[in-house]
Amino acid sequence: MTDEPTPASGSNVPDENGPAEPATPASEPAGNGGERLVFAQSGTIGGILPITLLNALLNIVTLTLWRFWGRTRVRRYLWSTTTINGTPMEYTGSGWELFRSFIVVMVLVFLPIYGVFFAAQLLLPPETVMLVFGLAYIPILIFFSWLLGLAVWIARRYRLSRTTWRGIRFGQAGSANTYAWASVGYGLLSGITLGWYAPAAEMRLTRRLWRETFYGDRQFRILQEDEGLAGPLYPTFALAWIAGVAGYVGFIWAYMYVLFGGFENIGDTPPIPDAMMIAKIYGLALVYALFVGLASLPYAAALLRRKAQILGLEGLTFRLDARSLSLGWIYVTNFLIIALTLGFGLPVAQLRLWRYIFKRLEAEGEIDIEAVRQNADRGPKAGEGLADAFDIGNVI
Amino acid sequence: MSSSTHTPGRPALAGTYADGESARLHAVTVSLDADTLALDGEGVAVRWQVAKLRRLPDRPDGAAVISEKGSDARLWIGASDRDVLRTWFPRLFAPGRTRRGTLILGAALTGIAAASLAFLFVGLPLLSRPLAHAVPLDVERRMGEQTNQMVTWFTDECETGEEARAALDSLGSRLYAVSDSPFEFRLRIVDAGFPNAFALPGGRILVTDELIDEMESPDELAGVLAHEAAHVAQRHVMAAQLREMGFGVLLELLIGGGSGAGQEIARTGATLESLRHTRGAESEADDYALQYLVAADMNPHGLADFFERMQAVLEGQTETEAEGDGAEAESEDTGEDTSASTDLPVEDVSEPSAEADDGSNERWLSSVLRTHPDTRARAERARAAAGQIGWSGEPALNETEWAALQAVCSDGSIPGDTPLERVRNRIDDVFKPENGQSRTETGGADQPPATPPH
Repeated sequence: MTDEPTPASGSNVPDENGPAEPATPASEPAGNGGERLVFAQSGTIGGILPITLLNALLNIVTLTLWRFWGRTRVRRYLWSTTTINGTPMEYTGSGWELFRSFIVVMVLVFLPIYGVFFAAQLLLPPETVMLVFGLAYIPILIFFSWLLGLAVWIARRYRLSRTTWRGIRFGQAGSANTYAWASVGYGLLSGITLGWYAPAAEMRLTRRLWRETFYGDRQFRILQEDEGLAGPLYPTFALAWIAGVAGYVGFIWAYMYVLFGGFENIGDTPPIPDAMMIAKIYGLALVYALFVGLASLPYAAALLRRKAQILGLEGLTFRLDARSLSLGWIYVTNFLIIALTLGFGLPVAQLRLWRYIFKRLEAEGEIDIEAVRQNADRGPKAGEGLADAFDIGNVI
Repeated sequence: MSSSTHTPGRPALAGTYADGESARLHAVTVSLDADTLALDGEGVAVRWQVAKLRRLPDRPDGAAVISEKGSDARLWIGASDRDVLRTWFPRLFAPGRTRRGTLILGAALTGIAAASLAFLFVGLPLLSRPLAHAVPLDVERRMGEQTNQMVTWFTDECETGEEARAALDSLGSRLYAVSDSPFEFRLRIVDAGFPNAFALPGGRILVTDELIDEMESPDELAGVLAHEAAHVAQRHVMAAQLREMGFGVLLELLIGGGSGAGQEIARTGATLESLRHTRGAESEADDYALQYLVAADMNPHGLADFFERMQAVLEGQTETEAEGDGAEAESEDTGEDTSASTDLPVEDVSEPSAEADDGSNERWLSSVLRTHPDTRARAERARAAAGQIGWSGEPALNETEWAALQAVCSDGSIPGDTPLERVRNRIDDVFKPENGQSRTETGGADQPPATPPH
């Protein structure tokens, strides 16, 4: 995580570790100016299905050890079916990199943590253990959320460095540690404000990531500074928040009603739950989840739109036309696909979301692509083990 | 395209080239010259060694993607020219090349997975016994206290009278005197909705009040306690704990932090499996139990009597527990006692069919995974062995003592012991370590991570 990337700063200096056989640097961008960018996504369910089935089979027989290679294949497919001006993106990562990094993280990070927990439980009297962990509860929580922030950043750097277009790498600069602390701090602020800081936190973290993101030697810019970064999100967020609170209160009321068989009996000893009652309670929970989910859709769509909106690269600005209903359809059907296939259908769901994004992503303005040089930072040698350990490695 | 420098007569293909230095695309003519691939275009004159070429996955439009090892440069050849390219580089286009790689990798990973499973289910159980004996007694004692505390924290309370306490202590010390156990046996009655007895690490033995209700004589109780005492003395309990830890760590290594349904099932199943005593440990505990009973001058038939009673419960008997459970107890422990009528002692869950009507997933799972020698066989073995042993005829406890034990928890939980109060007690316990020692408790819906039974 101390591995600071150093993107070549707009110069023509070739990367020292560059291609074994540098091409003749003849044709400099002889002022043929900018190009517009057009995104397209040609992935199909038929194309991802063989990968999905093979991954399912191999994940079962290898007790999920295949997951690193499986994930790589899914990404390779998604990237290669995404084209910009007709040239597909390419995912250059490998399963070995992910596997190696997972092993390293397990041995260096998680085994020592387990060791400490086990040893404490074995060697200290139970009251002391409870006392120590009770007092250390907040610091432990902060430590793990810091670790989670690190995982997000490291995984993103890995994925960007393994993404190329026209042979030129993307990259993530900046510091994992700074990002991780920022995410801890924003998390605390969101908690203190009962969630009301969450949109600002989300946008600030997004800004942190993107303003240190590179395509080749060109750095992405954030068009909107502090003021109003998350401002436009608040109407939709308020809707989601109010619906969340109202839904929760309603759910508790309905739950009490079902549990005690009517409001007048609340306070009596509740009757023994039978199958019917349990089914009713699950039904209530489903209605509650659907209600809150639906009310959150405008916020989810607004968040996607806003993230694209604040982004700039050279002369380009971006527009992502995410809408509540269409996004909601993707989310609901993806949830069903994942749930009904016990998780094995994940690649299909990922393709559908990916396709949604790239079909609705537009770039306005122009960029002198031919002037873009290679990113000197080759990225980390290994993959995203920390993210995998936190079960967030499956992010596309 | 601008076909300038390639040797005339040689076939040439049109391609698109990115040099890996800039994002500019070049239109190039591609020709093969012995072991060199020549790329020529406006400002491009690249020579790639054929031996170092690599082929990347095709583009969705069918174009082939070629690069050199370690290079960021890319050469795209349109789908229409693939056939020519294939004749140039049969090695790169060999059918099944990638398929073979997948097969080898998949087989290797399956091998690793199988080896890990073998270690978990064979190696770890074999290792756990010697390892358990290497664990310092003090550590095991602390673990026992830890688990015992958990039981206290997660269950309701009910009173154990002085007389009952004395009876339990006497049983414990008589067994301890005749065993070679490194730990004294400390017995506790806990109120739970199912008949069971289990040993914690470090010599604590918990018996549910439901189990005592099922029994007809103190000799049966002595039989069960002797069996549990043998588990403690032989450090089977510690071995089971070590297996559970090993399972936890290894599974985590194998399946990672994933929270998919399959991973959860694997984790739950593995934990249940690892905490169970092995078949060998069970028979060994039966054998030692008989020795203890003889040496302590307790009824050697007690163990067999107990197994037979449990067998009867298993076969769908209903009378014993109707007589065992005072009708007045029903009103208090509603949920628990109703389920008790179908709950089988964990001792006996070797037949999944008998469990089917229970509906509790965990129990069903635990019964499916069960490796116990079945109760009937154990009863017969214990009976045969006991037949050759003499005994003074003195019951393990006198009638008053036995009555005192049966009374424990029968009047249900202490009124007003709400979940909120339990939380408060838990907090009290943290700051006042000494209370909570002589408690017995009610409930048991959420079982502690204790070593399970037998």
